Amino acid sequence: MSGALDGSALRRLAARLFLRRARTMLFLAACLAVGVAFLSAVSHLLFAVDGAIAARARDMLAGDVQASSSRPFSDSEQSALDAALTPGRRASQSVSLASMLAPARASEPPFLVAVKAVDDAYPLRGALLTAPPGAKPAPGTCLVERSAALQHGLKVGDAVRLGALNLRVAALIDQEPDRDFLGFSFAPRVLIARADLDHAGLLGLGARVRYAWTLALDASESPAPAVAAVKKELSRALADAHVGLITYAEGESSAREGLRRAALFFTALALAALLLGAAGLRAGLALFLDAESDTMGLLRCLGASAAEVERLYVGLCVGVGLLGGGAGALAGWALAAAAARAAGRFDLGLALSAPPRAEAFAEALLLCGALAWGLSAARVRALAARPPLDALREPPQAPRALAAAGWAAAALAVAAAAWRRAPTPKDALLLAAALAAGTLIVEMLARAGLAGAERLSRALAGAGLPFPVRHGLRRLVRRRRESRVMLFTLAGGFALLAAVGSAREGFSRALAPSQAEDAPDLFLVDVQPTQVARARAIAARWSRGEAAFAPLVRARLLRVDGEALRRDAKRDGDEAERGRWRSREYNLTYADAPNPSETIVAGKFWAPGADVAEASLEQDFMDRAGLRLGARLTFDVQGREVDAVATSVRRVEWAAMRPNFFVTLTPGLLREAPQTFIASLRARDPAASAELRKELARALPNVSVIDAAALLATARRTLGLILTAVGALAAFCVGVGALVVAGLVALGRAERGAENELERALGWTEAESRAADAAELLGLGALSALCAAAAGAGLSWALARRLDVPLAADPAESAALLLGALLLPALAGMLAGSASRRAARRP
Amino acid sequence: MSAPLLELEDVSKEFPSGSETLRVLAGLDFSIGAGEAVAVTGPSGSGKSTLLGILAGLERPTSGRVRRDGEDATAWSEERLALWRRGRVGFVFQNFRLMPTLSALENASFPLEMQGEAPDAAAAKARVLLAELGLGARADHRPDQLSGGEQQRVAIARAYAHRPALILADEPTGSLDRATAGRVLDALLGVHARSGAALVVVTHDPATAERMSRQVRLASGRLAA
Repeated sequence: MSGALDGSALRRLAARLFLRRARTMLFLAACLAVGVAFLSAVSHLLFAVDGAIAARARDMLAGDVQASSSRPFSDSEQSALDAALTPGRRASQSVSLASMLAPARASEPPFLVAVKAVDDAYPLRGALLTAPPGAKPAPGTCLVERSAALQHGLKVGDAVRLGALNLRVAALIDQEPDRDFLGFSFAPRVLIARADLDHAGLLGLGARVRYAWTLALDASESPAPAVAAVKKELSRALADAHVGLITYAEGESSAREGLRRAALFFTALALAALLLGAAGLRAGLALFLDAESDTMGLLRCLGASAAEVERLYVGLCVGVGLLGGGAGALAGWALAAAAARAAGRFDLGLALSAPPRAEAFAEALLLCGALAWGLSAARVRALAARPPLDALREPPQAPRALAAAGWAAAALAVAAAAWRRAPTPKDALLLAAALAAGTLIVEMLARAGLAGAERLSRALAGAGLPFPVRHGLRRLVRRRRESRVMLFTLAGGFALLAAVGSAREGFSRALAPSQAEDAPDLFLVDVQPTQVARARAIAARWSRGEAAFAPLVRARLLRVDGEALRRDAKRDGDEAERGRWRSREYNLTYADAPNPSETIVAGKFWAPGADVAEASLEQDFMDRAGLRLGARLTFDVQGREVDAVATSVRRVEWAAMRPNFFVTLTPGLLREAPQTFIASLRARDPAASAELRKELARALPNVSVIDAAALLATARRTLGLILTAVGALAAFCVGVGALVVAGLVALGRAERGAENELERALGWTEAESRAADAAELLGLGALSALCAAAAGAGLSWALARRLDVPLAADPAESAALLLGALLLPALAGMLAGSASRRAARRP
Repeated sequence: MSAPLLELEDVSKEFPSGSETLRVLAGLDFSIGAGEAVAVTGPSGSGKSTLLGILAGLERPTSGRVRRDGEDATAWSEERLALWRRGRVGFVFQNFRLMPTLSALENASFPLEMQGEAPDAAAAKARVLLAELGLGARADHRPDQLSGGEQQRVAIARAYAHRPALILADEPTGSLDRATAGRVLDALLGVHARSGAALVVVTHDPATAERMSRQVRLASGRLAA
């Protein structure tokens, strides 16, 4: 006879145990599968989008390297750019701006468009698909985005007006290579010939224009090192930090980081679902292993060593984990594939496909295997080593070192999953910290809740409650381990749902001022100083109330506290972000006092008419740009330097839809500077809005009208969709809680069945037995509701701070959630517990 | 004369109990030869189950010596003890201890499979044994579908399936009514007689003890004369 137990016998026994306990195994696996499914879906989708971006990275820039500026390139800058144009390489120049396109038909009002004036070389990469095919903007013609043409009744051949230009629509644009990523754009595209722009009358002083120079490498050059070399050379030659430089690879990684940031909430919720499921798994495995402890002892009596018994049961537990991981990964891929197909219906500018990825499956299996091992290994060892015949000693405690190693393995597995998905290490740490803090808080609330319930049940002993009810409450406290886990998962799930609801309400309240009856819904931009009176008069004819005008002065920040802004390629993370905020093109304004939508939160705003050189900074902008109260700012205002000290900080109610600015200076500094005006107003009705645009187009063709209401509606719809998806995921977390309750009740049916039998033997009626069950489960529900309310409040506060929205809750929704938390455990538990009741009724 | 199958020399067993030490067995000498049937009796708490645990190699004595098959086994490793139990010992428990998810046939054939026998061959042998014990028609039933007496007979089949040299039975009839207990004891002694294995039965039932070829009585951790 060989030393070790015959391996095939062990495997056969393991298979038999697994199959004969299939329902238990499925429940345990399901605990993990839900969270893994969502993690896997996010992973597959991100990979699909990454792939699509990588495939189109050079197309998305319509070139390989791009320099851009809000001012025409100076002679020295242009020389530096031309020096990069070595033989074989090609270059293209373009100018982008917003303006109003007016159809020749008088019935159709003008509408806002994103104009791009291009030369013959455009596009250097990617395809410009038009109808009819092969069209390019030639002088006197324009290409219009198909959706805009459809919306405004434009056809090929129609006459339109753009500023001072009369153009003919030569083709409709079906695909533009360097359109804004994911198709989100401010206004529909119109392409015109570069040469035409100079006659359009749209490039006046203060116009908001972007000049771009794009380079495509020679086909023989290796892209990655070549673009890096070009960027390095141009960074050296173009000292001005205000000239943007980007390679296709940077555009790609920037888009990827943006996506991962957007997906972070989904990742966080998926990990939360996984943690809730892991808690259920741990409790379920403990019940399962305890029930198997007799069999473990028997195996040892029959001659299996403790190590062999341990291997058998660890194998079973890990098998459960692998089943959960596999099922979750499969479900996640299916979800991602469906989402990718659904995304094809929207014009995202990316072709998405989500094939199954071995890496994602492997990760899911590893994660769940590690979790299952970590949460069971110590207990298995303790039970396997237990002397089976010994009635005098308690079972040995789980070995501390192994228990700690198990927890560490489980925590590490979850942390690794978070790390892989977060856009930056800082986000990963934040996510891990948030999950750890949330877990700890909910666990402490659950423990406190049970301790309180224990005191209450003792206090109620003399209160005249029927004995079955008191017995049910005592049961809740006595089954402390299971009760704590059920509380944890239910409270956690409902708290997440409450927080998502609170975030939705917070966003709604933040945007509420924009929906007020007299809130402005139109912005007029690029109003020249000499046109203000005329614009005001036209607005007065079609608007409700008076239009609010504010001056706008284009400028660049040159120095902060005497230190010049410099381009530094070595900066990354927060420093690079600060650099980008500082080197952007500024829209300054000047005023004697804050407007009604501004509140001074630090420092002191200057007195009207004060002859000082001061600046007031918007709070959020100040933080992002790394500025502070007291900073000395030097601006380049159309070639002239202007100094100002930051003496106050404003909080701006952006949703009030007034002309608001990041930086306001004292009037004396900018009154004489070249400037345009921006105004907001409320049109009387949609018909008045159309007439206003027509009249402005005729009288002041350079003035653009932005339909803020339409933009806000789109933003609200998009936000609503995202929050709905997030809410659905949070609802799944509640589902995990219900699953855990039902599963643990079912797993404990032997003990419950024995109790029911005893109750019957002692003379309880069916009704009394059910009353005890109901008291236990409703007690659990009440505790869940309390814990969920407390945890939800805390989570909502943290989320409101992170999202910078008011802390808010819909009373009806909150009440419904609390009611759900109260009743769901009772429903899940009663359904699962009916099986034990049936067993008790058998003779 | 061949060496005893199992020999305990001056064996004591103590357990920590809070701040005190509980002495369950004190300087006990015991042996059992091949084919013997011994009853171990004594009141509750006299150390019968502890003695059984030491005989089975599931407990180690605090002091004294244990010989198995003539060899000093006091310092045997856990692995070696497990191996010895696997091949040389069968168990019958008071509460049957069948694996609830396996059928009667699978429970009975399991020790054979543990020793590497092919499942079909193991099942065939176990089926024969179950038939001898009157359970031929119940072979595919699970424990929760069998009566107490039937479950105990399945346990007896499991204990003898791999032809061990020693059977240890801990209160084998303790959970059964008198009539069923009698039938189970007949089955146990019948298989013992056919197989020639030694039999140690822990019992507090005098009627059961009288049917063994030798009786020893434990009192306060010692064997009474």
